Amino acid sequence: MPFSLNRREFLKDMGLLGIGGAAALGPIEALGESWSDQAGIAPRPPWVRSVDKPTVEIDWEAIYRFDERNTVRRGWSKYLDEETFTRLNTQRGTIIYDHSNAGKPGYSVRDIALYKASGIGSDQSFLGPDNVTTPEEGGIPRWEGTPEENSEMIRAALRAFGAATVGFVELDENTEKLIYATDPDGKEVVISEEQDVPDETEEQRIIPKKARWVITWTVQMSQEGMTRCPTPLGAATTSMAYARNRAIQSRLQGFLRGIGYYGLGEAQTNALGIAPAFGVMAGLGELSRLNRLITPEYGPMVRVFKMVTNLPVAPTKPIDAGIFNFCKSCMTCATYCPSGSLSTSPDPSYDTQGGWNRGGVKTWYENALTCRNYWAETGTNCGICFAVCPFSVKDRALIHSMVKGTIGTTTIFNGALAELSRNVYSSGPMDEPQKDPEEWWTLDLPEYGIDSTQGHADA
Amino acid sequence: MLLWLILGIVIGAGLLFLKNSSIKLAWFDWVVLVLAIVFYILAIANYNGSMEELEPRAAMFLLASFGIPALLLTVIVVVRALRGRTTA
Ligand code: SF4
Ligand code: SF4
Repeated sequence: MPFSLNRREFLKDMGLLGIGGAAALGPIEALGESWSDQAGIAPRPPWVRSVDKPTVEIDWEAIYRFDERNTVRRGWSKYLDEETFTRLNTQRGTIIYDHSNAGKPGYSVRDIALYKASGIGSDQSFLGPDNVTTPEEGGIPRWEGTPEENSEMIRAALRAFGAATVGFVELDENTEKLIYATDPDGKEVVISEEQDVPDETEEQRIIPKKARWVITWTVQMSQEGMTRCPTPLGAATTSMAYARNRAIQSRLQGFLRGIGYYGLGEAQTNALGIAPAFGVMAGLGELSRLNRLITPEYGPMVRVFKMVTNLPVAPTKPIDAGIFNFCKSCMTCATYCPSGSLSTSPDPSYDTQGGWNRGGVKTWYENALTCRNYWAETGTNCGICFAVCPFSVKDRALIHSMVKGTIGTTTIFNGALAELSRNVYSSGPMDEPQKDPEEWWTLDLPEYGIDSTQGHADA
Repeated sequence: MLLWLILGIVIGAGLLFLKNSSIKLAWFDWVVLVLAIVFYILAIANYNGSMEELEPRAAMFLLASFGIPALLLTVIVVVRALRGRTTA
């Protein structure tokens, strides 16, 4: 490939000049292998470094395969008395109309319609669609490539299908524990030594032990949408990301089938395995105070997905872009969270908040119950914490590369940068949209409200 | 793209004019001038980028943060150049 710089790369490189002076002043993180040095991987800036262990400390001995139904997402009723649950659950379904009748911004009939319609999309399943001809059926040999070639191919295919960034995890005795023991619908997820072919029965989903790789990817959400959270207008981008992914997952399963392999996907939203954990292990981002993934490219403005496959791929390493360290100084999400569900402790801890946290990770565990209860007040999935995060920025202004380059190089400015970001970017009200919902309808935004060139070198 | 082209032409023409004019700058002034130009570019690029991002508050903040040092540096060079003229 000829060496050339487009305008955006040139500007980014210019931005990195700025970190030189800053780096000289503070404790500089050891510059290690760059993420981009890995085979089949899209280029990333030099401050996104590959590391052998994730920046978050993990006690693999304490990790076990979790039952997804213990999350508040699925098991909300478990953590409340019956009366409170019934009241909040009913309220969650009706409150958007109450807010609408009260004339609350972001709750107009068109905002609600956008929210409800954004979740419409394709089906998803564990085994995937079977309407793509296999090489065997077509009488041609199946695809054979090195793991590096396979990684590169899957990345290109996933990008074409609508994914943002792509990474890979090899299943071993540790990472296997990130696959759920039980799916949200109660089916047991079995990793079988005996069975060579994946299967789904009334009670079980069978992953053959031979399928040793997990493809992990992100799907972008819209910053202009999310900054209108916690209204239905703001929440529409989350619904849209999940809906888009249902199609992306099915297409990837179809593609793998078409080259002679298989992909085992999420039978429903958030099934199969712990998405942020796979994202961290694949180096798509770092864990954060949100107890969710923050990517160097889009911050938390993504949803993370995964698929088990028997196509051998080259695993990608975790990263250190200074994000986890930055969270120690920045508490913007916790400060803005209207339900006080996020930790305000400077340092992460192994102490969990309730049965919805599996534990075994030294992080900032969230009170998922108070968070979920607050959703009953908005009628949506809130999202304020995502909207105000300093990493939830676009990439048109040079300053973002300068700041991210600084954060990835030294920790000394983290506190000041967090404060600056709060004043300049998220200076909106505490429990209301950061930006005017009505204005959103007048904007000339790109498709899906996302800039699909963000984080990529080739336009 | 057009912005960068115009900016390049303006900066190039300005530097050529300075080099060929009777205004004599010491090496120190050239360093300060280049620094000022870098700050002007950062001010314009960040203002422009932030406006594209629909962040007018950030745009104004960044314009001031990089633009004011750029102006101060320019004033230093101009004052020194004028002094040099009067003392010459
Ligand atoms: S979604 Fe809302 S309530 Fe839940 S943690 Fe984030 S800001 Fe708090
Ligand atoms: S708002 Fe700050 S503390 Fe919270 S996740 Fe983002 S960077 Fe970390």
